Amino acid sequence: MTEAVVIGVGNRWRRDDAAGFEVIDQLRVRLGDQIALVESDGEPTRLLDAFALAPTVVMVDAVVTGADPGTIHRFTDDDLPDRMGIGQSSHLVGLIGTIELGKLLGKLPNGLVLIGIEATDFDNGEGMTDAVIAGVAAAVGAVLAELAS
Amino acid sequence: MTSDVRKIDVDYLARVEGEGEMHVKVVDGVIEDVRFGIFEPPRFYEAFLEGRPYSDAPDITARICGICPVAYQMSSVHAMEYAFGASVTGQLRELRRLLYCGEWIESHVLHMFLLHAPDFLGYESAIHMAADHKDVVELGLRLKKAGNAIVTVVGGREIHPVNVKTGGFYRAPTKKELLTLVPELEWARDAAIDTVKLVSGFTFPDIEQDFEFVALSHPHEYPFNDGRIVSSKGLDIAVSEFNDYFLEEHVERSNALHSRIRERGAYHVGPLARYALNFEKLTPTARDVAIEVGLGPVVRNPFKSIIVRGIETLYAVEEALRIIDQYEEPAAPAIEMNIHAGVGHGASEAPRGMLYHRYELDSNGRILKAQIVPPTAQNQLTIEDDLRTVLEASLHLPDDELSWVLEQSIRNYDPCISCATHFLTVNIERINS
Repeated sequence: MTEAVVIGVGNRWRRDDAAGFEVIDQLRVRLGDQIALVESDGEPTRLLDAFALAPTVVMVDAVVTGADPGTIHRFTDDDLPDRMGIGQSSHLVGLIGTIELGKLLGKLPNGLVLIGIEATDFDNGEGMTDAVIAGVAAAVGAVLAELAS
Repeated sequence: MTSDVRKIDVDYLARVEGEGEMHVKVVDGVIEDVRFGIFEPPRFYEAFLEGRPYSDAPDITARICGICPVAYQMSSVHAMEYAFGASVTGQLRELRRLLYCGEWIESHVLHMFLLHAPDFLGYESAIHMAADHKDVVELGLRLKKAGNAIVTVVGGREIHPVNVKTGGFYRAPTKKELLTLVPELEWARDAAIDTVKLVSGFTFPDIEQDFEFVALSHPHEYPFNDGRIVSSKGLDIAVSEFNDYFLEEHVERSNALHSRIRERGAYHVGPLARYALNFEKLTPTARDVAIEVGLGPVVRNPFKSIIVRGIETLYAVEEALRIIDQYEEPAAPAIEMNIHAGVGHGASEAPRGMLYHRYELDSNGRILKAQIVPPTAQNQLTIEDDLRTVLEASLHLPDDELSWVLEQSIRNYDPCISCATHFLTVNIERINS
């Protein structure tokens, strides 16, 4: 397996926004400490540090693009949408901004892949919608495929 | 007669914590309405805490904000200790101050470098700024990491620290662990001085406000988590008297309660308030640097809050070095609680200003009622006052420039609209009849 860091972004207290963390939980069971697994609330400076942990960077987050809930998206740092709804990009500079900042500061020499899980419910509280629970399982497969490639 | 209505939406501006919306209405050149509405989830947390054991409060409230979890932990544990008649002293108290130093450094540096500096330097965002000022961004990132490192060592991990409990900590760090922080903090002291000099060179709108400053005040310390609540207009009360003097009101435009001082009105919490009420308790270096860059002991220009954040960062670095130097490992990481029914009050100085918690507990220490008054809700009326003042001085500007200075005014308060979501929408409506 390649030297990689997988970063799950989200908030466990905002329903579907927990998806990124759920993916990390499942990867931890399957991969143990073979690769670096990081949970992030989107705070930009810590995300920038996480980028530097390994040459291959895969990020997982809930996204809103208008697709069917649970749909898995694959973006690279060159084709990130301008704006992906409210689920990710927790604070301030935002997820997309942080990735751009990482590139400007030379922290992503090999770029980055973002696996997005289409989500709908960002209300306060715990528990994801059924479609996103299914999406998490699919996202785990998508991340493993990235790591194998 | 023609009627000309212009409305502008400035969408997706993420450099405040959470979600905010601003609406401005100008009719024939006269400001008719200024509203700053925010959405925040602490109310949800208050309900969520009810029925849970007192010991859950620090970990649950820490989740309200990813930027200032320590503040929520500190106000909650102090409230619980008040209810149980306990007092944390000595090295455990010092460790709490050290943890708070870490949070101030992290939070202030993030705000100064990545959020507020771009406003002053004319960049849409930190990303645009980084393209031209890579060295400035890298200075900020390294300085912030010095704060992260303190939170990691004392708090157990970087985000949502888990080591804080009522009565102290789950585990006290060793002297050796703390000493590993020193070399970077020594670098950070110089970096903080450079930061103050850098931001004090920015251009500031010429605005002075007659704020009523409110902050904790302690006889010997710049305040983190202990002291009386004092104001620049003579208030001097115990933390337990908060609800006797301050009022929270529901306002239709916002699901955040608005705070005011009874029979007086808006007040100001945060770095400017702490600084004005505690200037003499800064370290000599911090005072000297403040004077060197032209700050008096009271700063009434809200845009200069960025300089005061720099001064407080310098203070926090020096205070951290002092605490580490004098640290002796405590005999036990926490003191025992004598659990009984009661009411607890706690206030501490979050990076954005005073944060008040109140809990009613039953005889098993279960939470019957929780009240959380975050700094941004307390500043909301003052932010609106500032917006009105800035508007009056800036109405001649075209809408895009006006939006810019209004957004910058809001960011003077580093508003933690609390991890709700991520938008500040500015609506400017101009009606000429």
